[in-house]
Amino acid sequence: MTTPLPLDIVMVDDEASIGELYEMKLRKPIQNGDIRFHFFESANDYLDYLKQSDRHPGAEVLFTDINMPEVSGFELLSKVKKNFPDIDVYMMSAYDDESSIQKSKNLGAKGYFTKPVNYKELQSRIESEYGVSLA
Amino acid sequence: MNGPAVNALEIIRDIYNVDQLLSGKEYIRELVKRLAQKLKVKFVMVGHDVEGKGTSVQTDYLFADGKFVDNVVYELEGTPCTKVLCGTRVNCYSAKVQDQFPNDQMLKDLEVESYMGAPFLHTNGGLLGLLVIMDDRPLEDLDLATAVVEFFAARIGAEYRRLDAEESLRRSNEDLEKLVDTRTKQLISQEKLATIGRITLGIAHELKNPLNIIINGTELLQDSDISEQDRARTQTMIHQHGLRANEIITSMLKQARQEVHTTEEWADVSRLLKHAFDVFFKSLNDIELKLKLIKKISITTEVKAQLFDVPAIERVFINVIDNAVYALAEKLQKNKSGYTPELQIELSFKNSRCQIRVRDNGIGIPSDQLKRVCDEFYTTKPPGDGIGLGLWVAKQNIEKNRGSLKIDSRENEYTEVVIELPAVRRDAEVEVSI
Repeated sequence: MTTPLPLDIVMVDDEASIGELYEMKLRKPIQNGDIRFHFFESANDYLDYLKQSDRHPGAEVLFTDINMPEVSGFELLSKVKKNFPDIDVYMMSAYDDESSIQKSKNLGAKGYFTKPVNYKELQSRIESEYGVSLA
Repeated sequence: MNGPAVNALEIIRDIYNVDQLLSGKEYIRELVKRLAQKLKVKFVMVGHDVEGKGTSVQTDYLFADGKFVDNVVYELEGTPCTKVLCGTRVNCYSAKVQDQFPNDQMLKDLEVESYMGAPFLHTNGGLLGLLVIMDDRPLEDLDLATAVVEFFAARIGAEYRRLDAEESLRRSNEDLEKLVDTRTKQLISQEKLATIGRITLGIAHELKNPLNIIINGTELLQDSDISEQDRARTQTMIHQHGLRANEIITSMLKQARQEVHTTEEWADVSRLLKHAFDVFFKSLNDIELKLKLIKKISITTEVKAQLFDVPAIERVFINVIDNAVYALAEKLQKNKSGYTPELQIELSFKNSRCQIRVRDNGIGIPSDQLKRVCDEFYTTKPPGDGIGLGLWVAKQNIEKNRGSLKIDSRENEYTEVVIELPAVRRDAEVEVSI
């Protein structure tokens, strides 16, 4: 799949440190201009951003936590799929139960990573899905 | 009737005619005194067989020379009392009793001449005690004395048995109370663990967050091409989140600890309430409810209160939120469509008191049950869902902290719990401390 570069990688997690870690992890592709990394501590913040930003279809991918105060990852997933169906959504959660995984699938998630997320797995998934090098 | 029989009846009536308000020991005491007076004898004694062995007697009432004297324990061997305890009838030595029992020192010391004793028995026929009259002169009217002593031995025996029954009733009541007390304590401690149980999932989730960061952070440190700055930052993060994980476990242990809190400490009620809700909500398994639930959370920050047993207050919040969510889930079960579960949690502060309001639009409480919901062991939940101690314990904990807990509800419409506690806001507290 060819994806217009740079790829926008969005992460939503109420744990700010997660954003910091991934930003460090993705330092190189960010510096190379292969990706842009956006982090939001709440689903609402991201939904607000979606309303304002100019977006390129097919160039944005979302990774979201499920258990967050106020708006949960499930809600965010269904809202995003409803209003921005071209954004691929991946769940990242400490929950590993079948019903959460099933629920995510039903709501249109493209993938489901259990925390702690194996970075190599995440990296190869992004590379193969979007043809971008994260090394 | 005439002669001794009439005389005996009159004397019995005379002795028997005591204050009707007297009972138990006071009553027996009065009888003993009157026996001495009416029969004109120097000594009257009531005692019981020590440990049912038939070897010694403990006197319970010893009347000598017109007054009660200190009780004694005496060996039965060689005394006329042995004969009394052996039989079930009156035993009498109308004169020269010392000659028959030369080894009885007490008879000698008291210069006893005549002796009459009658046993009284347990309902099972076993020996309970004895009534003895003694005098320093020979007994004149034997028939009369026999009738009176036999009668009052029986009467005193009845009183002994009644006292005994009362005592064993009191003791078994006491045992029962103790048992109820112990069981209640066990149940309260079970209820406490059940509350903690309700949030274990949330705590596990809470613990996973720092652990994830520690795990991902160490992975990052293994990259050889990470910059010095990023390395330092990652190390700091790992340390911080290690401390955070430790704190979570510490506070969980605090919850589980069985200690009595006798001193007050300052607690951030805003944080307690927020944390109780977060951790409870994270523990919630009902994904459908989670998705549909409208949460209206409005918590004034920096509200502090001096509290006894802070973990207990957090459990109160968890319990109240748990009840609300239970009511919402029950209603959602019945109305899959056309019902939007709503949970309001508010913390407000006014006039040195804070008010915590938890309101749900769930199944509500029927008006006839409303006044009982804070009663001990009152529950409407099916067995296994609760034992009826949650709100009772909650109310006790709030009241112990000079607060109040009130519940209002309308069946099928809403339930609202309002908790008030004396509190301050940080600004006010700073002012006070300056």
